[in-house]
This record gives sequence, C-alpha cells and structure tokens, in this order.
Amino acid sequence: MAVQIRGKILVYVFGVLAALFTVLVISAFLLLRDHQDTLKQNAYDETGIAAMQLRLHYEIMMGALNKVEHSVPGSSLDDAVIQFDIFYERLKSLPTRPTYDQLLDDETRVVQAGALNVLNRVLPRIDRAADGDATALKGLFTELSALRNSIERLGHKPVQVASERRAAVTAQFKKIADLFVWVIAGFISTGAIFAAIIWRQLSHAKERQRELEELTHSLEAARDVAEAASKAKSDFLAHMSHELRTPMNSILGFAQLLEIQKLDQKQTQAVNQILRSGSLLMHLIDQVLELNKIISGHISVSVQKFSPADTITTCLGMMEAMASERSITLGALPSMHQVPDIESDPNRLQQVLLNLMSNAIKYNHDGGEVTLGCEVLSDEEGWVRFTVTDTGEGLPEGSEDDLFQPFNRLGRETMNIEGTGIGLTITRELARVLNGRIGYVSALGKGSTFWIDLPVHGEETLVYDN
Amino acid sequence: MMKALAEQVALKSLAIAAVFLFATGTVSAGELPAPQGSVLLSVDGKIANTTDGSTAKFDRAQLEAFGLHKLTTSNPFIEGVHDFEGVRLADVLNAVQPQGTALIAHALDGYNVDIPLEDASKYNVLLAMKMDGKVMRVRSKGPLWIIYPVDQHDELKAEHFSSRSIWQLTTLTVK
Repeated sequence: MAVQIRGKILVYVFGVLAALFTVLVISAFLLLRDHQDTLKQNAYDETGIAAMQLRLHYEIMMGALNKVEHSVPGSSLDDAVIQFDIFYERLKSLPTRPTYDQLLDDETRVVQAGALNVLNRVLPRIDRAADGDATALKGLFTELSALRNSIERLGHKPVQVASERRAAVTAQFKKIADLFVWVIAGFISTGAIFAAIIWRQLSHAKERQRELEELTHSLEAARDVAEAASKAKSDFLAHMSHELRTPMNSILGFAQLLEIQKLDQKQTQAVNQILRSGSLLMHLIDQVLELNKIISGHISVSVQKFSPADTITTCLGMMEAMASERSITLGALPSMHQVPDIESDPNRLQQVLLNLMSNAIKYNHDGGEVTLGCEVLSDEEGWVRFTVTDTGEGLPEGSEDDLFQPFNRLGRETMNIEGTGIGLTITRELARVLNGRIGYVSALGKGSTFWIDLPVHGEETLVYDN
Repeated sequence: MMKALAEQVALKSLAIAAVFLFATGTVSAGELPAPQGSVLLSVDGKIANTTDGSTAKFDRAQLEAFGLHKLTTSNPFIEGVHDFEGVRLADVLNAVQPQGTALIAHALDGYNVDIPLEDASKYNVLLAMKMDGKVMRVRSKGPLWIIYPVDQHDELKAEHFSSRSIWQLTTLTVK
C-alpha cells in the first residue's frame, strides 16, 4: 500500500515536472524570438567603425577646406566640394543609418541636428564653389572648425550606448543560457522520474508475478494434499464395502437356506428379519460403492441418440410392480412424444429417472400418483427437462441444501420407509456426469416435482478405468 | 614535343575564344567613344574595350545611352520603398567586355567592396542615377548607387549583399 502511494506521488511529480518543462521550453523559444533583433550583437560592433568614419571624413573635409583657404598648391575646389558632400551625406543620413537609428539618444539627436543646420546654411556657398566660384568657401574652414566638438560627441556617445546595449545583450544571452540550463535540468529530472516510474512498475510487476507464482505453488500443493486425502477416503470406502459384501453374502445365503427349512412362526419371523435387514445393508453397500465410483470418476458415459419418450416408457414398465404394491398410479404426460431425439446416455438417464421414481413412490400416499414428463426448455435453447411429479407430503422450504447430501433423509428416518439416504446424492452425481442440472419444486402437503435438465447434444465423459 | 603540342592547342583555343567573344559582343573590340562631359563612372582592370587604352570612362549622357531602367525596392540603408532609375550594370559590363570574374567597386569616400561578376546578370543589378525622380548628388549618395532588387529576391536581404550596395560609386575594377 505504501509503495502504491509513493508510486502515485511519483506520477503526480512527473506530471507537474513535465508541465513545467514544457512551459520552460516554450518560454525559452518565445524569449529567443522576441530578442532576435537585440541579439544582433555584431551590428553594434560596427558602430565603432562608423563613428570613426564620421570623424575621418570630417578631418578629410577640413583638410581640403584648409588647403583651399590658404591656396596651397595642388588644392582643388572640386575636391573640397566632394569632401564636403561626402561628410554632409554621412552626417545627414546618420539618424536613419542601421544601429545609429537605435543608438542616438535625445542629446546626440540634438547635436546631430545642430551640426546639420550649420552645414545646411553653407550649402548655397558649396553649390557656388561647385560652379567654380573660389571665393564662396572663404572662411568656411574656420566656421566648420566649431563643429569639431559636436562631431567628436557624435562619434563617442553612440559607441558608449552601443557598449551598454552589448552588455545588456550579453546579460540577455546569459539569461537565456541559464534558462536553457533549467530546461535541460528539467528535461533530465523529468526523464529520471519517468525512468523511476517505469522501473517501479517493472519491479512491481515482477513482485506480483513472484507472489502469484508462490500462491499458485501453495494452491497446487494444497490441491495435491486434498486429492490424496480424497483418494485415500474413496479407496478406503471401496475396499471396506467390498470386504463387507463377502460376509453379507454369507449371511444372506445362510438366511435363505434357513428360510426353506421347516421353521416355526417365531423362527420364520426372525429369518425374514435377517433377510430384510441384510438386503437393506447389501443395497446400502452397493449404493456407497456406486456413489464412490461416480465421484472418483470411474464411470463411463456413452452418448447415443435416443427418444426420451421411449426411456420414460421403459422406466414406467420397470416401476410398475413397485407402484402397484401401494396402489400408486404411474403415468406420463402425452406432451413427451413431441420431444425430438436427444444425444445423451440413455442408461444413465434411466438410472436417474428410476431413482427419482423410486423416491416418488416410497414417499407417496397409498393410492397416490407418480407422473413423468419431458419437454423442450422454451427459455433456453438446446436443453430438455425431465420431470417426476408425486402426490406425497411435499418438502419443507429450505431443504435444498440438505436434500442432495448423502445419508440425509430429512427426518424420514423415523417413518417406516426403507431407504439409505444416498439415492439423491447418486442421482445428482449422475446428472453432473451427464452435464445436466437437477432440482425440484415442492409445495408442502401437495407433493413435489423433481426435474433434471439435459443438454440435447451431450458429450462423452472420460472413463478412467473399470 | 608533347609540351609544344599542348602549348599550340592552348594558344589556338585562346584565339578561338577571343574571336568568339568579340564576334558576340554588341560593341566590337577596341576603342569606345571618349566622354564629352564630366566623368561619372570609370571602369578599369581586365577589360577589352577602353576609352583611353586602359580605362573606360563614361559621362552621364553615355550612361543614359545604355538605356534607363526603373526598379522599385526597399534598401537596407534608407527607410521605406523607393523608385530608383539608372542603367543596368550588365549593360555597362557588356560594353567594356570584362576579362575577369569579379569587380572591385570603389566609392568616393574610399569604401570598396568585391562584387562577383555574375551578380550583374543574375539579379539585374542597377547603377542608380536617380532616386524618386531626382538626380542623386554626392550629398545624397550619388552620383551612382548600386541597387540590388532586395524585395524581389529573399536571399538579397543577407548582410553580404547589403555591403555590396555601394553608394557614391565612382570606379569599377575588373579583376
């Protein structure tokens, strides 16, 4: 039980971990996607180069302007104009240039705008110089020298901002790396828990199997012991009954010899008593032997096709004498002729019916009736029911459990009716070997109906020996 | 003996190749007309046709004579989509008959970059002279700007194509 609870907790932990793990993976991917742009670290690296270029072109322009200002030999008005334009283009496009568009803050934007303003003011003079007017650039070198501080600021501030961004990106990278470490840890622990669950399940299954095997072994041992005991009992009964038959035959034989001697009335009575009691005992011994044979499986069933009505008619004939002794009327319901042939053992069925009829006659009133019947079961396909109905006292309610037990005569021992109390047990066992069912319905004071159901297509039963 | 034969064969194939090249070119070998106005573009290096024996120089009128083409595309260096107008790099190269495999493009500000020759025909690369109908001056990335049709080919968004989009272009060297 404790193991089971621990296993359950493990499954819950696994579920929670798996969910957590999934969330981690999803958030890691979302984070990566969201920061895809800021992760372009190399773009910030180029900022330094661009800043350097801005200052370089400022210096080149200033150099060209200085040469023109002082009419240095080899100076070119065109070159000064071109260098101005190059610097102008760089400064103007700076706020829209990639990385600078993100790196210029309010301060540097003001600086850039101020510097561009200065350049815009001198543009007409540059255009005049382009048209060949050398005087247009007079004093421009000095005017643009004032821009130096602004240009240096524009060169350095974005580099500083870029390095801060780069640090932020690095931190972001570290965060993502940490997240991935957690993801991997989650993955590993989820896997470990999963493996533990599987391992636990496997060891449970193994344990169960071992327990089952042990149980099977002990049950098999118990069964063997029980079988041995049962066999010993059966063997003992069989042997003892056989041993009893020999002296009984002797007793009955000599009693019969005595019977034909000239005896007085008292002696005749005594001999008759010996004969009757002896016969009863002999009958009892025979029945015990029979029951033992059936229970131990030493009975053969030979299945053949036969007419139930024919069997019933035979039985009626055989019991006629016994019934007439007590003026009991034997009869059969005519509906039995409509039942088609069945496949079963007619001899065993006959034995069953004779037993039931014998009881029906014995426990009937003088002048009563015993009626046999046979019908196809309407609510269950493939079965026929044989019935033996008497007009006797009927059986009290709740007798079912005792009725088919050996040597239980339900109090009839006190009545003057001979019986061994073993007949119904034999009948039930016979019904069993025929794969049938036996039962009864009874109303106290009105009589009983015993029935036996047989399958229409019976099967051969294994015969052990005899 | 064998070596001499191989050399002979090689020379012969070279001659055939040269004849074939000159015969198929739209401009025949030798001299190109000299520019009349100020020079916008110079092409030097391994080229067959020149204006002065070593370099092919073109003024605005000469470039426009190649035929103006329009291209509307975005560009990594400016915001939004713009209309560019200019001549095809392939047309200019056809005129000078390059004998190499790559170009080095030089800008006024000293920037230079290698461009594979095959880009010219593969992507219909434009030497833009006008942007949104206005002639580009040096102060607005002129006089020439190499424009790739970025919006027409996804692969052109890659960084190495951005670096080939050189502005303030003045010289192409065939190597």
